[in-house]
Amino acid sequence: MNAQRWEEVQVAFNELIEMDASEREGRLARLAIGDPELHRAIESLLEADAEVDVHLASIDSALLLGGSCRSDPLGLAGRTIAHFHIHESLGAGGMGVVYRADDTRQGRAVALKFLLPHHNLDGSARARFLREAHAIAMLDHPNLCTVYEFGTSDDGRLFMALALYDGETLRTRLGREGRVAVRDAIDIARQIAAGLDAAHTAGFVHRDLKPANVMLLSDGSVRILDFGLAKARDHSLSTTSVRLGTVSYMSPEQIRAGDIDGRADLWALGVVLYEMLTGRKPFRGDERVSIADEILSGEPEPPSRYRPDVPAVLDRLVLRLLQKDRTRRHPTAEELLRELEG
Amino acid sequence: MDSSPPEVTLLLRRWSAGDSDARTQLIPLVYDGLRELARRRLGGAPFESSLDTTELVHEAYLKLVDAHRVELRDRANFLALASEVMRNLLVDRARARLAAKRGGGARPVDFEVHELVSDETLETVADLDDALARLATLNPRQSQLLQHRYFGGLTLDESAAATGVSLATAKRELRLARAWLALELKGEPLL
Repeated sequence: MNAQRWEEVQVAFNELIEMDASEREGRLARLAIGDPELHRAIESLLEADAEVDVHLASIDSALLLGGSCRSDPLGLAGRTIAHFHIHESLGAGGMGVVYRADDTRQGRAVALKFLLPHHNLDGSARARFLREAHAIAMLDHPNLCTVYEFGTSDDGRLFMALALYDGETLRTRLGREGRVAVRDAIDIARQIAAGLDAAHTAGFVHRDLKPANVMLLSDGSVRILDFGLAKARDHSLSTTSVRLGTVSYMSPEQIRAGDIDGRADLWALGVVLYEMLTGRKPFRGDERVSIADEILSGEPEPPSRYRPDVPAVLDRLVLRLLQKDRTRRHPTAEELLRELEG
Repeated sequence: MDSSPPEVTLLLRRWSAGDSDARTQLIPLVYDGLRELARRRLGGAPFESSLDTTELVHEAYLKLVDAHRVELRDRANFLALASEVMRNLLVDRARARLAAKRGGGARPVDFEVHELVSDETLETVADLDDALARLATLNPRQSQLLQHRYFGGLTLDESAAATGVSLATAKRELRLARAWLALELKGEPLL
């Protein structure tokens, strides 16, 4: 491709996008005979254009959503969707964009979370996802984010109405303070374990527990966010590689793509607790692959190595959560909870 | 901040009036402004999963420019220039950081990019920079439109004003540029 050729591509592309489907077919067919090379280029570009938001979702959410989050990344501010009047955006993460909104039916403020386009699902997968998300929403536990309801916007985007909390995520706290007082770390872990226990007992696994999904409320309570949402990501339609996920909290069985149960969440809680205590992750590497390698074969140092005031019993608890063989971890969140309360 | 707003505002107006020296004089001022803001921001609330490029660039505008004394064209020029500076800052640090991870000795010097850029985003930023450089050889303006969007958060109106084309043209060209970028990042570039 050179600049002159690109000019021809541009002219043809601009013509074609203005045409209706049948007109376009004819033009493309003629082009295929007259200039096969140009035809190939145009076809690729039209295909990419049709799904451009999906293809560029990872880069858009990395560079655009955060930046424009205080304004209006999805162009929804001021609009009313179902019985929600939407105000400004509160932020964006790997899974979606969150807006502050008024629930005009219930007369309360809510956080509306819209899933990003590449996490939207087709028919049966969507139905499955909604069934499970509804079931999780029913749990209503003091350590799980309260989900009020689900809906779909006019352009087919899934959204959920969540309780609006006053606080910050554990990720923000760790980013600012590096680590957490030992007593606070135990208390946060205890509340996470209580939330996991409730969900696991009902048969649900989080699959993506990490500091960004742990909300620390200003009254000292802790709420786990995005329960069950990771499943939407794993099953989403998009085949483009999305490089936004973090591997650092994944259990060995998740990396091996084996079957997952609640003990994968216990592993993740082990990583989170380790990080709260020491300010560093137990398994480190320069890239995703090397982190994954460490998770599969590296032996973590006990937290007390980096923070001498961590008691031996807490060292043992953390290292037990980080056992690669999940049968050697705590069998249930309930048992972990008992130990943390003791 | 060292640079006084009136100076930046004045330079912007001279630039719009056709004085290309003014642009050259603006560059270091914008660099300093953005670096200062980034550094201060990192001392406070750290970045979450994304880069607040748009916010930094717009905050720099508010700090450096006397908004009452400039036209749309001046504002657009400032934001466009700032998007270029932002791109250089981010890409330099992302590459330094990637090199350091691969065993090279280079360390980021100005502000710690790994705080600003999540690990997963480093490569995205470097890939985007490469793609923009390739597009610039085909059509510099289309490359600029993407740069404005990703590193400065310019609206299409601002982008059109800064590149001196109509809104309709900017819109059309950005659409093509995005399709092209999608193919590049998918690893299926046009030959």
